[in-house]
Amino acid sequence: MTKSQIYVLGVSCFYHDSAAALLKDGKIIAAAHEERFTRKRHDEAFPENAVNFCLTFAGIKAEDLTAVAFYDKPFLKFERILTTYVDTWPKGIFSWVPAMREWLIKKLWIKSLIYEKLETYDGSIYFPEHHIAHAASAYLASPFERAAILTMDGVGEWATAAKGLGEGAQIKLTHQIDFPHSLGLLYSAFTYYLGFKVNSAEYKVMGLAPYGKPRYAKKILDNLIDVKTDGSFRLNMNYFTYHYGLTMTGNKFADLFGAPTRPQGFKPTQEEMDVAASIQAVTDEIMVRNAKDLYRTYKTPNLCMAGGVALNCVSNGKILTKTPMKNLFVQPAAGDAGGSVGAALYVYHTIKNEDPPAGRAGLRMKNKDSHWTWETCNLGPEYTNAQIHKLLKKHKVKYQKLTREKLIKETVRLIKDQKVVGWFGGRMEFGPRALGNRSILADARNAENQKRVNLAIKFRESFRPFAPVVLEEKIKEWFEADWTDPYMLTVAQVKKKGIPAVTHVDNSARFQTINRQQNQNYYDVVHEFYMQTKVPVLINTSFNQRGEPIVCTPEDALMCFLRTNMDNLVIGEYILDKQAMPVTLIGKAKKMKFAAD
Amino acid sequence: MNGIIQPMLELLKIAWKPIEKGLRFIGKIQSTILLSLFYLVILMPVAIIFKAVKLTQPKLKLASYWKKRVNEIETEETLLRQF
Repeated sequence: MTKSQIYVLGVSCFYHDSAAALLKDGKIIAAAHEERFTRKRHDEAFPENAVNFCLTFAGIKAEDLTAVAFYDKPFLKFERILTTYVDTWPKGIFSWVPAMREWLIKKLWIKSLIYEKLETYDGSIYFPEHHIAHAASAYLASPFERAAILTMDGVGEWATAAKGLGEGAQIKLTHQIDFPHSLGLLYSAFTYYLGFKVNSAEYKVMGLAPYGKPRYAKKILDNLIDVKTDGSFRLNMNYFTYHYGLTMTGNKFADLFGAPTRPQGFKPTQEEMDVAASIQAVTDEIMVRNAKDLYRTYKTPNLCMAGGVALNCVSNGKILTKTPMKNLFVQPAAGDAGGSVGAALYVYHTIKNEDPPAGRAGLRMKNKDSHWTWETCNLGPEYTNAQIHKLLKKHKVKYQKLTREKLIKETVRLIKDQKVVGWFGGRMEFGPRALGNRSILADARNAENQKRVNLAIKFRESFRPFAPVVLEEKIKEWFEADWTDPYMLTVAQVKKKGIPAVTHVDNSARFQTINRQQNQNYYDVVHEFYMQTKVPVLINTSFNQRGEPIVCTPEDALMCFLRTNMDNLVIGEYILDKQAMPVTLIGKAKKMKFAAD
Repeated sequence: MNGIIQPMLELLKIAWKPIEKGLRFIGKIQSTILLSLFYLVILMPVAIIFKAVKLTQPKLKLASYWKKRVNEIETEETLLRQF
């Protein structure tokens, strides 16, 4: 390490999806979710493993770090919690004790905890605000020199949403909406009401929505939320319990929709689909109004978004099609995990990067040499062929070793033969999506594959749609989209028939575009499939089963492959066939259980 | 002396897990009682005053629910603060 190198470590934890990210001279060089190492979905614990991975990847020790950044201000958050308990007294009696225990034992001591975990680090620990971290994670990683910023999530310290402008290397959030009024928590309240897990299964509500009609949207707008023309909103808290209780909604909420809260695992009927469609329609409307208002205010077609709500691909698609915002950058790990990236970027650009070139109007411009634009999500650990080979030998499994070209041709042959293939190679993705390094691939032309992959491989609900990966150069031909999306963050209508496995009931799809620079092997598979079938689209879903975090190591991948009904596994330069796998090993793999999400 | 300490240490090692479990259980009961008392005795008068003050606040009809942020110039000192 030379003296001029600046390393900033970003950490997010203690709510959900804890993560760590490492910045080297303004560029993110490593980032990972803690859940991938601990195999506990949405793990909120201090990201010890993710931090260790980041430091090892960079070849540095904790003492070499220039700064450490945490993704929120804990004392400000504690103030909000205390004030809320005072405001809702005595209704909060049941949640008070567990909440305070957590805060007094753990969450108030984050600074000491970081020093304890990073034993040899004695530098400063910085605490940017939660929504500043979100805003920075989007704007400072975006390709724009000027852009409107919108952050929206469940809650940070006080703010649940914030908006403003990014210019040069500066971020100015001008307005915010405070807790308990939260679009993220409103969506989570519906997630809870429909029998899904909060802070985990919001995307299921989004997937359920196209099956329904938004016949409750007016009811929601009349009773639950008051939305202004500029997209700002206020909730009617008489219907909610999340601000003081252990649940999200109360009896009044259930009475409004004429049915009680569904138990977890409830099989959705048309009624639930209509409720899901209604909250999705309201969310879309709020996001579209906000985007329009930001355009009116700042007269820029560039918009950067982060926060959990920014992962709502349907709303993102609506912003691109229904507002003057033409360039949308959503940070791919827009949720709390991405806060680690934002905190590190903000600290670097605000105080550690002391000599940026001067720009227009005296602004500190994004330093061209040190400014990093988000170009890939492949920021996690990678494993060599030698490591993979050692694992295969250890478990005495049969495999074929192929050259790159043959491996691609063989993968395409298998997919064409209607096999479902696990695809493992390269660095693990950062963010909630598998984008071609930890993926399951299948033929999108076969409608049966949607049911098969859902029920027999992922063991998840049959209504869940699958996302397509499409060659970037073919996007306009196959989808109603004039934008590319390498991170699977928007939804568009499907233009052509012939890919039923990835076409949702409303003819939409949450697509991923791919070009050769982004991921050579992955691109070549899709391209070879196109050459042979004239269809440039495959099913791409994350390499995991229900309730399991996306696989991280070759061992995780092998076990997931053996546990599920996947047909083949392509792992590094090796290819495995389920038929040839030892029965005892399959039995061992099947003993691993994951709690349903 | 060593002859006594060594087996005692071994015994303590074996017994430590159930002892720790027991101590944690007692600690949980203690903290539940103390925190509940705090909630009922200390927070109650604060809550009454808070609600009384809140009632006196005029209810404004707002054109927008966006609230202006107080933006202080971000410095190293403000970023070091946990509040």
